[in-house]
Formats: sequence, C-alpha cells, structure tokens
Amino acid sequence: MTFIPVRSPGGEAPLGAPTQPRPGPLDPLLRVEHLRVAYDATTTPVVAVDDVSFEIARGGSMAILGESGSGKTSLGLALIGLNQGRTTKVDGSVRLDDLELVGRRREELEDIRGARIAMIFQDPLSTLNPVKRVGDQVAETFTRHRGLSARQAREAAVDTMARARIPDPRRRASDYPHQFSGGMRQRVMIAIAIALGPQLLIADEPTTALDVTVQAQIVQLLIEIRAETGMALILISHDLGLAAALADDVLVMYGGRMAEKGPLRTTYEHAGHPYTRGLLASAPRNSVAGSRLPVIPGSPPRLDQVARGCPFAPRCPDAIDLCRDVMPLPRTIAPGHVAACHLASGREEGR
Amino acid sequence: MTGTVSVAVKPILDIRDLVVTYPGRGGVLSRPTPSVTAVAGVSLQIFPGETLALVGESGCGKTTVARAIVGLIKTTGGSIRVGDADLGAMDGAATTRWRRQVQMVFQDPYSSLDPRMTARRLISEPWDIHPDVVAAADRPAEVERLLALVGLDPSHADRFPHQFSGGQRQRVMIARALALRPQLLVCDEPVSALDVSIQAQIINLLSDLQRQLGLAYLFISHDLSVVRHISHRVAVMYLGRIAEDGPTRTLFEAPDHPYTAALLSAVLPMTPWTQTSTRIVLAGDVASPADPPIGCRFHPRCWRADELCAGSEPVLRTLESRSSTPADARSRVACHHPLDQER
Repeated sequence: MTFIPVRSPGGEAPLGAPTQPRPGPLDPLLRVEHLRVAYDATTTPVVAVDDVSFEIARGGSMAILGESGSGKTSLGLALIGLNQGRTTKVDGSVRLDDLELVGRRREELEDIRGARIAMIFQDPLSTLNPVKRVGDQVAETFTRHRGLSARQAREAAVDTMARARIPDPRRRASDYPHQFSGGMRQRVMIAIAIALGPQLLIADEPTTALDVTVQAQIVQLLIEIRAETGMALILISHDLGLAAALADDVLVMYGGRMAEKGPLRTTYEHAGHPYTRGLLASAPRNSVAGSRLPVIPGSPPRLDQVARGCPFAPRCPDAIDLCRDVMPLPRTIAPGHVAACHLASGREEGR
Repeated sequence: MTGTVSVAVKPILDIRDLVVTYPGRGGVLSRPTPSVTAVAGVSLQIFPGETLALVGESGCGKTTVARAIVGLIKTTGGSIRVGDADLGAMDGAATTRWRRQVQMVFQDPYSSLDPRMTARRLISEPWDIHPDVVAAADRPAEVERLLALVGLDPSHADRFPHQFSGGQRQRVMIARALALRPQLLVCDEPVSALDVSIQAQIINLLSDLQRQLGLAYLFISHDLSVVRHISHRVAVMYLGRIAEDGPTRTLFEAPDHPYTAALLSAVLPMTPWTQTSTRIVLAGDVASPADPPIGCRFHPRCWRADELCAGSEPVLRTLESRSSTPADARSRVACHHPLDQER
C-alpha cells in the first residue's frame, strides 16, 4: 500500500476534456469502416461487432459507450488487432493515417502497438507481470521498440513513471506490482502506454476497478497527459459520467451495432436513439431522490441469436412493425450526429 | 426534561461501538501478517421502513459491518441488537431465531446462487432451517408468490440460475432473502455488478418492496448517485470509523467532513458543462487498515489538516452550527476542522 503524505490543495482543476484543435474531417487520425468482428463459436458464430464506422481526428477523443455484451471491448481489441486467431474473423477497415491495420501480420502489428497506438485495461493487476519489477516492465517498451540499452531504458522508464505522476519513481521502479496500490498500478499501465508517445490511446474501462477518489486522480492524469501530448483517446466504458469527463464525441453501442454517434453534449442533450435516451434517463444521477427511475424493460440481446430487425426493437417503447423487420441504417439527424433508428428525424422537425 | 415528546420508535438494528479485528497469522513458515482492525468502533441504528446507506472506499470496513450483522464473522467488541435481542449475549438457537429478521443480498448474483439448484429450491432452502415460517404444504404457493413479488414469472420457478439474466438472478436472490419475512435486508452492493439499464429495474424493485412490506435496508454502496436516490440516511466510513452521518439530503448538500466533500466531488457529472463547482482531487490512497495513521485517520490526505489532526482523533459529534436545524435534519461529523466553518 503506498501512502503519500502530500496535501492536495483543495482542487482547482475544472472538469471537462481539454479542447483540442479539430482539423478537418478529411484528415482523420483513425478511420474505421464497416468493422465486423465474428467469433466462431462451436454452434453458431457470434457477431460481436457489426458494421461499425467512425473517425477520430488527430488529438480528438471519443467514448464508446455500451453495456456488457454490446461489443464495445471486441471493437477496442479489433482496433489494435488483439483479437486475432483462428476462431476470430475481423472484416472491414481500420486505417491509422495511411496504414491499414486489418489483416496485417502479427509482427507488423507488434511494431505499431505501443509505438503508435497503446491500450490500457480495466484491471492493472492482471495485465502487469507479477514477478517482474515495475521499472523493468516500463523499460521493456524502450528496449523492444527503441533499441535502447538496459541502462538507458531504465532511465527512460523512470522519466516516464514521473510523467504518470508516480511519486518517487526511481525508488518505486524497483518495486513489484503487488507493492503498488490499485491507482498506482493504473498509473504504471498509463506510463507504459505513453512511453513511446503514441498518437492514440485506447482506454478500456480504465477506472472501473478503482475507488471514486482514485478514479478522480486517474481522470485528472489522463486529461493532463492529453493536454501535454495531444494524444487522441478512445475511451471504452459503460459510465456516462466518465465519458462526459474525457470525450468530445460519443458512440453508443447496442447489440454489436452502432446505435448513435455524435458530439457528446449534443448526444446527451438531444439523443436521437431511444436506447440512448433510456440509458440517460435511467441513470440515478438524473433523478429525484426516492422517485421511480425510468427503466428500459427487458435485458440486452444475446449476440448468438440473430435478429432480423433493429436489435433494440424488443425493448423499445416506440417500436413499430418496420423496426422488427428491417435493420435501421445510421442516418444523419444533425451535422456530425447520426442515429440508427427508423424513427429518428432531423432535429428541426422535432423528435 | 424539555417539552419535546420523543416518539419511542425502536430501532430494528442497533449497533454500539462495534469492533471487528481480523487476527494476524503467525510466522513460523510463512511471513507473519499483522492483525487488522477493519471496524474500529462503529455505532449505527436502523429504524423500521428506512434505508441507511453505508458508503466508503475499499478497505473502509463497510462490508465487514454487513458481515458482522448477519453473523458471517465474529465480532471483537461492541454489541449488535436486533429488535430486543442482543446477538452477542445469546446462544446459538436463540441467535438463529433472531437472525431471521435480518437477511442479506450479495453483490454478485452469478457467484452467490448455487448453479445446481432451481429457483424454487434456492428460495425454499431457508425454510429448512426455519421450518415454522411457512408450513410445508404452503411452500410451493409461497415460492410462486415470492417470485411474483420480485417481478419474475412464477412459472419459471423450476429454472436454474444460468437460465436467468443477471438482473433476474438478482431478483431470485431478493426473493430468497425475503423467504423468511425479515424486517431488515442488508444489501451489499446489490446493483454494482449489473448493467446500467438493469440497475434501475432493481433499484425500483427495492423501493417498491420497501413500500409494500415496510422493509428497512442497510444499503452498502460505493456509488453515490445510487445512494442519493435510494437512502434516507447516510453514514460515511473511512478506515474503520464513521467520518460523518446524517440525513441524505443534508449530507449531500452540505457535507461537513472534508472526506465526504471529496467523495461527493469525485462523482463524475453527466453534464459537466452545467457544473460550476470546482473538483477536489485528493492526494494519495487510503492507508492500510493494518496500520492506520495516528490522530484523525484521514489527516494525511486532508487539505485542512494541522497538528491537532495529527495528534488527536476527532469524535463523532453534532456541530454547534447545526443546533438550530431540526433534529431530524442534523448530521454528525468526526472532524476537528469541519467545513461548516466556511459556510
């Protein structure tokens, strides 16, 4: 257990993602087109992600929101080719600058991962090697990708740990993961992720395993590091508040498909998809104490059961026959704001 | 005596100065581990029909309090009274009778239901130990009544846990807890393992059951948004002690303990663009309960701490500035420099 006798100054930092310059949409950092991930299970193939397309600008940020089984983690893994294998089939296109990542060989992807795209996960304890000193695990990135000598890599690791605001990094570098608290372990993961200055960080539920006050520290750290480096961010989460703190744009997943995508504030304030509206309404933070919470009836669909129409139709309060028969395609309801709903219409016409 | 008439409503649960110490292990062959006092003198009362939320971060002792109440662990000191009975002062058979009044709902409906038992068997099992609650002949109908009560289809009584979704499993768990007709449910993070859209369903179910059955809840959670919605009173724990307790509204709108304020401010708002207040980001982590700081347990992370805090541990008290507020809206705080001095 680490224990840092530092007093916090009472907190001045305002909440919210740093506003990044947004270059034109013609030059995105990452362009995902018609991505599909299918796992070949013994009986029926499970399509975890189907027909998902989006773009992220340089230095931009997007939250991929969804519940368990919505396909958000499969989507994140597919972006860096981590769910390759004989039983997994990834189709579509993921382009980082001019580089197509789908179908690329494992060795080539290993050069890209860490150097240009990095990823951090929910549980830092299971992603760190328990029998290896933390400093060596950070240093590994530099020996593997930059060919530094062991001594140089160790120095670079200490610097990187300092950038992740790990107190007393030189001493802590020779500790093992179990000697770190949960929050400090996630800082180590962040240090490894930012070591080589990647253009994009994918963070899959980075604070879910942490206590609230520690979550606040990690959110603060991610905001500061992005402000320092201009690194783009994809946040994968179920937490609407975390998305609001870290992302400019939001993509809502349901049943493996994109339900809605748009600028975060617009989407939260004028959600075009009934699932997004239900999700926002059922969060207790929006409610009057003691009142009944609005609920989405039923439960999310199982991905091994292929539905014909809209995956949300069985739970949707507005569903009509069309919804049960025909899969809705994403339609633009405002500039940069799309919803995959037959009943979504342009904002001027009301909803 | 003053002229106020005290309405003598007796608490269902009355915990006084509860201490729970997990013993350390010796070190002949393995490394010795120190003993850990997870709960260091906690007093709580829960009244019929109310929800008391116990909040705090991992290691604060909230789950240990819950386990002590339902008898899953031995207490080291203090007393736990259920109704008129002091659980510590009774023998096995008598405690079993009283424990019926207090049942528990666990966090994870995947690991806490026996996968080889049907819903019917899971719900009837408590009657093996307390056969007088429901006559054997009435049990099939009672199972179906309980299933309907928690919003499940009674015809699904013979299904196994894997045939239910996560939210439905939590409903089975609640039905099982209600089988003994308790007055108090101890709910340890009952919705944390559920998806957002399912959480709301279970929260509504708990509210409905409270209204229908007059149940009281001890609701343990780290999710302050849920706590604010569901609870009447809140107790905030830090490293085995209560830092602050009081009515939910008072605590959320005017926290007196700096730790409460930091916890509340760490909740990420869904609409940060409407937020005007600044955020408190605490330094450091919670200390180990095996080696709590001397003085106020929160002082190494507190921005208001001084020598007084490092030297003496504050006691839980009602602040003078609160003496004019009605008794039922008053909170108590264990802090040498409470935040009311700034308001």
